[in-house]
Amino acid sequence: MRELGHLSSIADEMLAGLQAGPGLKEKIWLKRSAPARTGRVSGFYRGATVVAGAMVLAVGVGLALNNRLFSQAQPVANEGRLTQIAAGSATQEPLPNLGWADVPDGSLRVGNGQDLADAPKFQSLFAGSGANYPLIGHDGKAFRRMSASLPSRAVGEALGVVSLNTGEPSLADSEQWQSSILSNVAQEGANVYQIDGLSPSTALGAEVDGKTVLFQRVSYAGYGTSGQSLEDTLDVRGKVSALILSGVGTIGDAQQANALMDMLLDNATFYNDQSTQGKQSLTIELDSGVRLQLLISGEVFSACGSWSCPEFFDAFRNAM
Amino acid sequence: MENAPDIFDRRAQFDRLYESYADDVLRVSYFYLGDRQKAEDVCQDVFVRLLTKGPDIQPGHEKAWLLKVALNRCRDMWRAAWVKRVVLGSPLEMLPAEDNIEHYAAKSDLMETVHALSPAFKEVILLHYYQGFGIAEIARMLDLPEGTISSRLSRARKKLEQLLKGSDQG
Repeated sequence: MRELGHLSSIADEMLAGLQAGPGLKEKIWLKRSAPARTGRVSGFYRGATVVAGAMVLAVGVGLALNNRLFSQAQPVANEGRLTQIAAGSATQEPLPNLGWADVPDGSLRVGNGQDLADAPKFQSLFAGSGANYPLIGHDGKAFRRMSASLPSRAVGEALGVVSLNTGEPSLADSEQWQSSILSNVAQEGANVYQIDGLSPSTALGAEVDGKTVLFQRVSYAGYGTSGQSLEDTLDVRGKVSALILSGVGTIGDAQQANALMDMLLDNATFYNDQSTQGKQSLTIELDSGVRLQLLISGEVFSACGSWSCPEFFDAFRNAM
Repeated sequence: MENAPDIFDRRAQFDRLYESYADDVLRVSYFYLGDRQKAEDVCQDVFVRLLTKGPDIQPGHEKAWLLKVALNRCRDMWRAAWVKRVVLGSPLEMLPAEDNIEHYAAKSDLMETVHALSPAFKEVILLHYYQGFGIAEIARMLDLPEGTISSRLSRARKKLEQLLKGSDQG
């Protein structure tokens, strides 16, 4: 890619007509100098404002009584802003306008023929909240309970039983994390299982309150990736039946979904060893009926460790 | 209320940085967004922020700070759907100096192809190959690990190569 080495001179040559001149400079200086509105109002104007406000209120009540307020509102086009109208609402009141910076990451990447209103909403499948969520510790790895149900056919071989139930798993020593199965929700003696088709570094099942529930690999209290790759912690290659990217859409074709997953597993680069919260999610539905999830913040995916893969989003959109 | 010496210092800083870097801010923004008006808006926002927030920028890192703010703004704009309806599909308009208008097919191909990259790839290519920042500085500007920047640059180059080969084959 020798041409890239000349990008600087090429760009300066091809964009030589684009210059930040004195006109723009003055505009900037004037914008900075524009007086800000203050909250101070003199006594006279304050009184006048109160009276005017009362008159508006009276008129508004009168109109409401005549049902004039419940007519269909018209969308207002504001330059540089998005206006949304709530679907299915009788009043059709406009939602607050969004500025560019208010838009959740990735939420407005629209694929061909997909209406934004149909895009799946964000909902975390990771159970619990705060620092001490429901988890299992096994073989030096942490697994967090998922709220999605675990199909009985997906329960695999037994791995062992919970030998330590503790309300503070972060305080258990490394020996306990390595050599025993500990949990803050499964009782001592509860069975712990592999998930059929998945490695025990990716997910487990465990008996909680008489039911076998799913736990997905996460980072917790220093027990993170331990140098493993994304695929080591998310062993789903070739097993995906659908991918759901919240705010964007669903890929229900297994071939496309697996191709996208392959791309993510092959190209994601390690970001850090934390599990982070996100405003977006990638839900991974497997052939076995198991549902795993990655939370997304910006272009970083997180479950066990955080991983960057910006090209995934364009690829997902193109696949739609 | 600012006193006279504060205004003088800020104006002096603004003058100096504008003279030195406003063209870079404008051109990087234009490369990113493909829209001259939007690029000017970004440039305006960046320098207004410089003036109004009055940050203590580390000497020698002023350009990095300005471009970081510009890229954040470009990213916000890019992600807004209404900007996409305006920008996507618009070819990057070359704006050579009036006395230099020639048909530079290969050069404009390269420019267009860089512009067509995804935002994450475009950012690292522009910062490294256009603006000359090293991996460590780019990592600081984008708040990403150096390994991620290296990897991203490598993948961006591959993507660029694929796209350029594809355009050669028609």
